[in-house]
Amino acid sequence: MTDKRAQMATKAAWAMPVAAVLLVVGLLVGMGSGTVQVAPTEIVEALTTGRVHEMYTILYDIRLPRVVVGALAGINLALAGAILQGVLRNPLADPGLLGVTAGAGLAGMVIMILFPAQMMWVPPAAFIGAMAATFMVYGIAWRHGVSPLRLVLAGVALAAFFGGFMTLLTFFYSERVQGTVSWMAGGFSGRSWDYVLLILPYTALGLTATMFATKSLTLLSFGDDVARSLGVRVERTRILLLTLAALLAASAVSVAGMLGFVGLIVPHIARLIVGGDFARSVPLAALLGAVLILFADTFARTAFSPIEVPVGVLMSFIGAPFFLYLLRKEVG
Amino acid sequence: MATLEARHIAVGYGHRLVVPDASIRFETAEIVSIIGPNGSGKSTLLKALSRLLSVSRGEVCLDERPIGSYKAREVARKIAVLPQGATAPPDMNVYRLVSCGRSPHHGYFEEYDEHDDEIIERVMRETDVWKYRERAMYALSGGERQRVWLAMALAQEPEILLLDEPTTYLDIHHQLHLMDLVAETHRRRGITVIMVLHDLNQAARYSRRIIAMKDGAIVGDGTPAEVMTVEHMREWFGIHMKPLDVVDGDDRYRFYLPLSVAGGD
Repeated sequence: MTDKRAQMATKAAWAMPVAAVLLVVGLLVGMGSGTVQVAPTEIVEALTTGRVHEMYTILYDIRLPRVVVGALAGINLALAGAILQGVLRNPLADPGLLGVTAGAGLAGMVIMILFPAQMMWVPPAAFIGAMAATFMVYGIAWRHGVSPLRLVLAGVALAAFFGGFMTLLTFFYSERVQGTVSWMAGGFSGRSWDYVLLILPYTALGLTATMFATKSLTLLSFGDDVARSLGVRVERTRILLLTLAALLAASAVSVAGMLGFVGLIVPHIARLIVGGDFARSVPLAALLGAVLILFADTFARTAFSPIEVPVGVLMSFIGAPFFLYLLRKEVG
Repeated sequence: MATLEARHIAVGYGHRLVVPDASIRFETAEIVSIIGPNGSGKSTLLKALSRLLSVSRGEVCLDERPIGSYKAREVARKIAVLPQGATAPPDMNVYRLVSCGRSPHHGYFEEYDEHDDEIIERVMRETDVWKYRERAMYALSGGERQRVWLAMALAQEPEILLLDEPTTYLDIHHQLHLMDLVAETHRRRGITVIMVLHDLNQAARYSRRIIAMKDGAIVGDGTPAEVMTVEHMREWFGIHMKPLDVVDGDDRYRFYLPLSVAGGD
């Protein structure tokens, strides 16, 4: 058993390269699939030579931004989930748990339902809603520092509160609900380069901070007292990590809508593969987040053609059973 | 060696003061045990000394300077703490865990060098856990895990080592093994060791100086013979206790046999 585990630590050295290959494959498949199929070689040719390929517009203006936004959102959600699960010491933690998703959802819906002419304000409003929700959760949970348990309880309560407002909106403006359905489900339909620019800075920030995050998470995982005795300023570090996770989740939700479960599932898969060492599982989770979204979005977009199913629906079908599996494993 | 001193500190949890006013000074490389009944404030005092708890009055000074005036990492290079209830991710690799003891010596973006590797290997050999370096924490017994935590604390290369009930929940073999390691580390490196112990015999055997606490106050401070008298044991612990000298070859040990709960007087 022990030897097996020790072997696994070295064996899983394949994980990062394989995930990187899957990422490239996912990008090519995502760009190639659709009503018009494009072979990988044609994609590379069309994009690198810059010649006006007949497919150039579809590839460059529609499919490429969509897969890039999907990959970046996947990275951000997975990093946010990995950080939250580490900081809160709760394997079931997920951006939705901090009220982040609900805050973004409510803000987005307010724009879509009350100001339908101002649709371009949905992503920034969602971002502001997500950050506002995060600060409210901190505020409620704060008492000489933030304890993981209080934070989770505050997040759940606030999410339920925001959920009530969302229901109220759909109730009073039932004729306008149609336009919000795909936002509520979460997906990447029609995402342009504007969305790439919206999320890219946060992905860059998240990836840059990964090393800081993994070291801090490792030290915090020993318990507050040990971390403090190793010279970690526990409260400050925890707030920094939570803020980082909130920024990552908020940016993802602002471009993808209320896309759930990615932040929950992916860090677990990464841990199953490389074990509990954050230095290895967090970077792997980032890559796998992108991979998962790329394949899931391509599948959801093409499987029921001509109907495009939001990827969030697919994630719920994968994610909810996975959540129950984790729950049973934890309890058992 | 570094000096550590509490000057009229008041410390507790929230609004509840456990230790209202305590002063104590450590200035020589020695092994000190803090003893006392449950709730006497011994762990609280240790936490205040190791800045795991902040004091609400008075101050703790490290090398004559308030401990709060140091950067957190500077303190961690001088004082290492092995608190109760240390938890590790179960599948964390033992070597990796010990290596985290080097983190106070480095910034977030510095890699460890050969010097760190040497220290990690040395402390792991000294604590007899080098053979487990490839293992996951969950595969070790409680006693082995405790030695791994000790290795991590020693990897900090501290001048002062604080231990909070390090032998609680360990079987007798691992208790003695751990205490021998602590005593040996003290001899070899001249580290000051301050530990909270439940076992009076271990306290008497491994330390030259014993601090006794009762109801949040320091009531005794001296050699085992001075502190652990029959009267004190009756007064502080409410037990009737008898000292017993045991000779084993050239070694002489004094044991304290708790015979019964002391009757009311």
